[in-house]
Amino acid sequence: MKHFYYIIPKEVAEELGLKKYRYGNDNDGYLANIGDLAVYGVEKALEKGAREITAREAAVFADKI
Amino acid sequence: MKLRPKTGHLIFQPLDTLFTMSELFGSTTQKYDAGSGDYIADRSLTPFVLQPHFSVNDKEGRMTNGDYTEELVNCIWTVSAKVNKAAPRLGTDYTVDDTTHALTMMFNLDPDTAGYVRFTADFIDPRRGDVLKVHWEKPLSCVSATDWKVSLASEWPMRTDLLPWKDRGTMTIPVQLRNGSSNIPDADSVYQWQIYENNAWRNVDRNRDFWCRGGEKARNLRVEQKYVGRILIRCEAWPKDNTAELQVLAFKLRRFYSLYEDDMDILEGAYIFPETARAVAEAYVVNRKGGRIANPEQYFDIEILYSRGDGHWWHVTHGTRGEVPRSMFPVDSTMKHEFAWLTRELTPLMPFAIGGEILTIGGEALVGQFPIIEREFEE
Repeated sequence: MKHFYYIIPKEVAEELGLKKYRYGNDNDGYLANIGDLAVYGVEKALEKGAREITAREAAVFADKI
Repeated sequence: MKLRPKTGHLIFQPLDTLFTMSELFGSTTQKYDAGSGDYIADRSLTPFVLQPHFSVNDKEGRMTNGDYTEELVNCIWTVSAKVNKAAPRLGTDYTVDDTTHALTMMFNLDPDTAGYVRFTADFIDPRRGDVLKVHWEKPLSCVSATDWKVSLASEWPMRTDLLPWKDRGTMTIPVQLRNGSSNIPDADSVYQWQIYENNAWRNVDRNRDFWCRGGEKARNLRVEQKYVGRILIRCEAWPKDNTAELQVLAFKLRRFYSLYEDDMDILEGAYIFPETARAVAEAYVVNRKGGRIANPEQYFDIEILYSRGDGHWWHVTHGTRGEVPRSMFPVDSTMKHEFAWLTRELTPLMPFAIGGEILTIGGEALVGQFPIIEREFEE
């Protein structure tokens, strides 16, 4: 089952221009959804260090940030 | 000499303008998964951004062509929606960037509601102060839907052997309808228990199926062991609003005697002396672990018989202890006397019926247990 949320590294967030609009920071990464990665490619993002997380984990991440 | 003016007109070519709205990182439509309670996408986690763009192309070249978004004035965002049954609040549910005029929405619409988002602004043509009006509007919506991954689960084994002397009383067979990893609430589920009978499934009926002690239309079926012979039952379950997701789980339960041995001891009168007044024998049943089964007459039809050694057997009793008075002993001391026992397994409790009608006493069904095999000897 494909997850809907991802923590993406800052490099990917910068490439996508997401940093301003997404929860996160350069150290912990940025919270993105699968739509954000649609054009960029989920596989490519995973190769660059992104990781899948559940909606619950996403909520915890957003809350922590 | 009188001044005679001649009016000339300065003609401004209208500005060539373009207004667009970029929908960034989301869309104006949302989906709400009623099964999991998740929004897709959840804007509180990944906000949705609307970024206006206003560009100008001056054919006369008096203005620099390019993006003039930041020069828009009187920018007003109007967000109309229901968020927890209330209107979204600026600063909490959405923010507006004063420079770029971008709107960031961090709220989710209430499921199955609609609204709209509107942007209005003015652009003042710096060449002569004309005001150009900008207006953009789009509906917002959130549609409730359920991603169905329905399953029916149970911790109860598919097959259960019920030892009569290990009485579980009334058992509860639990099932649970699930969607993904979440339990579907009882209020949103339909459960129907059925029994296989005469080559067909029919709904369990407490008036006919005495083993059923409730729950035939719920997720916990209550079964009383002493009425269970051999039954094949199943639970059909589905989400209340989606019969296409019907799930089935079957269970087999049977009254099972496993391995046992029956035997008899002659307690008194194994040897007959002049003073021997009686002969007493006791039958018993040993389970597969070697232990005596307590009160075996509750699970077996045990009959004790007596013979004077002449080949004729007398019925002594139904039960585990048989007693014969001296008057029954053989008169010829050269003859031997014998006890014998007959152990037959019993059916579960069954109703007495005549012509298909169940007999009742005081409104209660008349039930009994019967040996499962015939008595195979002649007295």
